[in-house]
Parts: sequence; structure tokens; C-alpha cells
Amino acid sequence: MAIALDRHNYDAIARAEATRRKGGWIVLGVALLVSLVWLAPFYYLIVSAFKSSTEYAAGHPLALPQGLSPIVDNAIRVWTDAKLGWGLVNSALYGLVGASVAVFVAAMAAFGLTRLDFSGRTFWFMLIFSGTVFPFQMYLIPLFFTYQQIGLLNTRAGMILFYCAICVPFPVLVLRNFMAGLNREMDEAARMDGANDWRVFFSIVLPNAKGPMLALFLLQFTWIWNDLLFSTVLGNTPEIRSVMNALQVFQGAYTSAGPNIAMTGALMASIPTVLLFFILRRHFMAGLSVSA
Amino acid sequence: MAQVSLRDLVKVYGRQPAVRGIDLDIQDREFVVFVGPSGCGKSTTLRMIAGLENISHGELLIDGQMVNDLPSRQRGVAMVFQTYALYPHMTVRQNMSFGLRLAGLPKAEIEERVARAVSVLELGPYLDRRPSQLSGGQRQRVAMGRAIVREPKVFLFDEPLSNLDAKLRNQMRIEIKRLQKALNVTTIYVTHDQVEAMTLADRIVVMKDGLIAQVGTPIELYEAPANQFVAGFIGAPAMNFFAGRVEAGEHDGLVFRSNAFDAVLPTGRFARLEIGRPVVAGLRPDDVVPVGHGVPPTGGIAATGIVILSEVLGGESQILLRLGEAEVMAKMSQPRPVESDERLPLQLNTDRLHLFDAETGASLRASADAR
Ligand SMILES: Nc1ncnc2c1ncn2[C@@H]1O[C@H](COP(=O)(O)OP(=O)(O)OP(=O)(O)O)[C@@H](O)[C@H]1O
Ligand SMILES: [Mg+2]
Repeated sequence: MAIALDRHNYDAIARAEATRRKGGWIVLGVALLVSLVWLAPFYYLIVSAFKSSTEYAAGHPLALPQGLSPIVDNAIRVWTDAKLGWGLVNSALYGLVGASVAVFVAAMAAFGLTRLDFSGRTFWFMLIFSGTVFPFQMYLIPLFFTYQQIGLLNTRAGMILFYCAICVPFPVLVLRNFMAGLNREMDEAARMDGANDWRVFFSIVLPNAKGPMLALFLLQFTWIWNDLLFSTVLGNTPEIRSVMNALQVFQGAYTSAGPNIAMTGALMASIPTVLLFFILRRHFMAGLSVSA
Repeated sequence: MAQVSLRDLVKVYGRQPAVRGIDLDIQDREFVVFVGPSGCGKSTTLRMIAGLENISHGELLIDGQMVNDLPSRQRGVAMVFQTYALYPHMTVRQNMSFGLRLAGLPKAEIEERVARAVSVLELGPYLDRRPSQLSGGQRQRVAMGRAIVREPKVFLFDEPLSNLDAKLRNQMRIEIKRLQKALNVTTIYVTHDQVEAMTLADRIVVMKDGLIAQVGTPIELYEAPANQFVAGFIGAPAMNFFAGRVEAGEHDGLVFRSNAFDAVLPTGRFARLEIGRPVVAGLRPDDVVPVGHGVPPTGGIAATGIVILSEVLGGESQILLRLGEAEVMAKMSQPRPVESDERLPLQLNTDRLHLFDAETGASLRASADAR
């Protein structure tokens, strides 16, 4: 016996549903306006990067460039004068090492806080958590003097150490919540399968926390990359300067160079984080939806 | 193949006891089911056996060896969890072989064991899928496969079927029973579904408030419950209870009198009866027979009930009746439609009456019978 499947014209129903959903032109308009405001600085940055210094000085700052070629000269100029290459290498080093170590340490801490039975768990969590409560700037001066005394000031090791430490508390907060939500029976099953604490951490919990860990890595990497305050105070010699610091020094030292060259430098300095985001975006989005 | 003995097993959380002292000997190859209301300590007991929970007091012996302080991997036990607890980032094959890989078994043996489990559980087509790509029943089978490949001495199940729909649950129940028969492994199974308990168990352990209320075969629990709690817990719909007292009857006999019915007590069925003693009588719905439906009891008494409501199940109807001043549930086989307030003639099979002490709830059955 056949069952009549086409009691209605389902295509028509679907189309009607879709048109009902649309509407909302006002919402769209407002959204467009907001994006314009938000995009204006980017526009300024891009057009400036394609202007030579004379062209920049002559025309309106928001005017379109006459050609594309000046960006090459600008890039060479900022690369050599600001030692941008070193800056990029340094920042990459600080960001990659700092963010990975911090997120990994945070994952271990979160595992301990959610899975292991030891006394004072809440106390330890609150202690770490307090690291996210106070403004970072508070650490600046004591850190400076301590670094000076023990000889870590203006060293790569000092910079890495600082970033590793400062980037731990926030991921602990996120990962603790995430791991608390992971099915506990899963690691009990692993324990019965013969896994010890380390094995449960590496083989069971860590692979399942990949999404939020990548998202956190990206956030912390970007924070380290963009950090100006600490990198200026703790690491201010030409060889160990971060890229942001190098750009700032360049702007101060070569005021004659003009904003177009600084903008080109800024553009170059932002490429790596954007690239990283594009490479990891799938995991990043997955991580966000998981932790939400 | 193993015997499991629980000796005065206790679990306290903080100062709160969850399991208050359990003694039980489980025979080799036996299928034991723990049932009881929510929070009575079934899972806690099972988790102590599994090694997932410390034992606060008492001893746990597997094959005569004290294992209190052995980690679970050395106890030779495997567990199937309620949520299946599969590793989401591993394929079915990896899920099943994880424990064997950790144990450092040779690759060939791992493959052989997995292959065997896969053929038993008919998981062949799914070996390279992740758990998220499987249906509930398939996940359940993978969880069982993961337990099987370890070739444990004892299988532990904690409500393994409660996440499945009714039809699949029946199917998996049969599959578990068959598997246990085929593998011949001592099995401890926790559920609060009494159909599962009755059908699967060699012996049922009924728990209440962290203690064992009764241990016995399904028939023993049904026919001779040791106390009112077990009587009310086993059997669906639940046993009818009537508060009343024992009084002197004709020919030196005893009668049970209540506001629902009076019945002569069969001689020899009960012990420790005293005249005037307050008791609770129990009568299963199967023993409240509407006249003309089902097998009429040979003994017993006639009565008339007034229909309050009826639930039609097809093959039978469950009818809630007013009997005297009490309410009673009756089972009508080969049912006919009944109306509210209809007067329904009944035969009460009082030969199968149960009596419980009104205070302690203990059964007053003669012990030879109550076993
Ligand atoms: N980790 C824990 N901390 C404190 N109390 C607990 C803990 N686990 C269980 N309990 C308590 O112990 C008692 C027994 O719990 P258990 O999980 O064994 O019940 P159960 O019989 O399995 O119930 P259910 O049928 O609902 O699964 C409950 O009162 C519960 O609240
Ligand atoms: Mg439970």
C-alpha cells in the first residue's frame, strides 16, 4: 500500500517560510552602517600603505592612492629602519612559546582541578583565578625591578617567562569549566581500561579539549603579539624587541618618515595573526561554540 | 570466571552513609541484578566493586582475594556505563582496543580479540566510525564490545539500557542475556527497571536505603517477599495492601479483618501470628480476579468491587476498584469494557495472601515457605 507523500506543495511552503524570514531591512541597514564605522580605520590603513610620502602629504588622508607600487618602497623602508624582521621573529617566538606553554599548563591545571582529588582544590583555583581579577598593569613595576635584579631584563628568556605566566589564569578559568562538563564516565572508563592519571589526561581529556584549547591559544597569541606595555618595559633592546615595540620605536625615531610608512609596518605586523586565525578558524569557531 | 564476595561493604560520603553494610556472595557465572529505588546505593556499590570508589569499610573479595586496594585495572573487571562513555575522538576499533593497547598486548592478539567481539556484536560495518556517527543501540554494543575484549572475570553494568527507547531496550536486553550465557562471565547488573531485573537475573538483590532488603531468585522475590518493601517493589502493578488485624475465627482458626474484606487465614502459611496483632495484608492484582476473567482461584472469597477507573492494555486491563473502604487494583485478563461505578464481582485468592508486621514490615510467612 502506497502512502501519499505529497499532501501539500512543500516547495511553496518552503518559499513562503523563507520570505517570512527575510524582511528586516532596517536591521540590515543598521548593521551595514555599524560595519562602515568599524571599517573606516581599516580603510585608512590600507589606502595609506599604498601611498608614497609625497603623495600622502599632498592629498587628503582618505583619498584613494594613485597606484599600488609605493607599498614596496614603504615596506623596504620600514623593514630596514625598524628592524621589522627581528621584531617579527621575536614576537612569533614570544607568542608561540608563551601561548602554547600557557595553554598547556592551564590544561594540566584544569585537569587537576576537575579530576584529581586533593585538599584545597577550591583554594588553588581561587588563587589562580585571582590572576584574572587584577589589572595586569599592577604587575609592571614590581616585575621591572625584580627582572632588573635577577638579570632577566631585556632578555628573551625573561620575555618568554613573563608571557607564559601571565597567560595562564584565563585559560584555566575557561578550561576548568569545559573539562567539568566533559563526561566523567569517559575517564572512568579509561581508568578501568588501565589508564593512569597521565594517560587519561593525554589520551582522553586533551584530545577532547582541542577546540577550546586552540581558541585559547589564538586569543593568547594575539594578546602577546599585540602587547606593547610589557614588551616596552621588559624588553627594550633592538635584538629582543617585539614587532609592536619596534614599530613604536620606529615612529618615534623617524618622525620624518610619515604615517604611510608606519601604516605599512602596521599592516605587515598584523598579517601573521590574521593568517593564524584563517588557518585555525575552523577549530576556533568550534572551540567558541563549545565553551559557550 | 570468578566469585565475588562483599563483606559488610560500607561507603560514606563525608559523614553521609550511601551504603550501610552489604553482605553478598556472588557465585561464578551468576547473573546478579541490583534493583531498588533511586538513591538506594546501587551505583555506589557497583562502583566500589569496579574500583571507581574507595571502600570506606568492609572487604571486597574476587576469587577469594581481597581487592580493596587494587586499582580497577588489576581487578579483572569491566564495566558498561549508562552513558556508554565511549571515547568520542576514537573510532569504534580504537575504542575497543584502547585498553588492550595500554596493557601492551601484541598487535595480532588485539586484532583477533577485537575481531571476535565485532562478530559477536555484529559491529563489522561500523569499525571505522566515530561514536557520534552511531545510533544509540550501536553505541551500546560498542560499549559492550569494549568490555568483552578485555576478557574480564566480572562484567559490571550500570543501567546500560536506560537511554534506549522501549523497543530497542527489549532487544538489547535479550542480547545481553545471550551474551552472558555465551561468555559465561559473572555479571553484576544495576537497574531500576524491574522487568529487566526479573528477566535477566539468576538472583535479584533488592536494595533500600543502602541496605539489602532481600536476595533471591525472581520467583522467590515474587512469591515470598521478605518484607512489605520488597512486596511493593517487585511486581507491576504493585501489590495491594490492606491494614487490619488478626482475630480469632471458627474452629480455632484465625481470620484477617480489615475495612476491605475479611479472610480466613490458611493454616501453616504464616507463623508468629497473635490474636489482636495489627498487620498489613498484601494481595497481588493477579489474585484479585474479576469473575469470568482468567482462571478462577480454587480457594478464596467472593467480593464485589466498584470500578473507579480502568486502564486498557489490550491483552489485559488493569482496573482500580473500591473494595469496602479500600482501593484495590485488579488484573482483568481477556478484558471486556467496564464502566465507572460498575459493580464488578470478584474472587479474591486469599490462599495467596501475604501478611506483614504493621510496625516492622517483616513478612509473617512461615519460614519454610518464605525461604
Ligand atoms: N559523590 C557523591 N557525594 C556525595 N553523595 C553521593 C555521591 N554519590 C552518591 N551519593 C549519594 O549516595 C546515595 C546513593 O547513590 P547511588 O548513586 O548509589 O544511588 P542509586 O541507587 O544508583 O540511584 P539511581 O537509581 O538514581 O542511580 C545517594 O543518596 C546519593 O545522593
Ligand atoms: Mg545509579
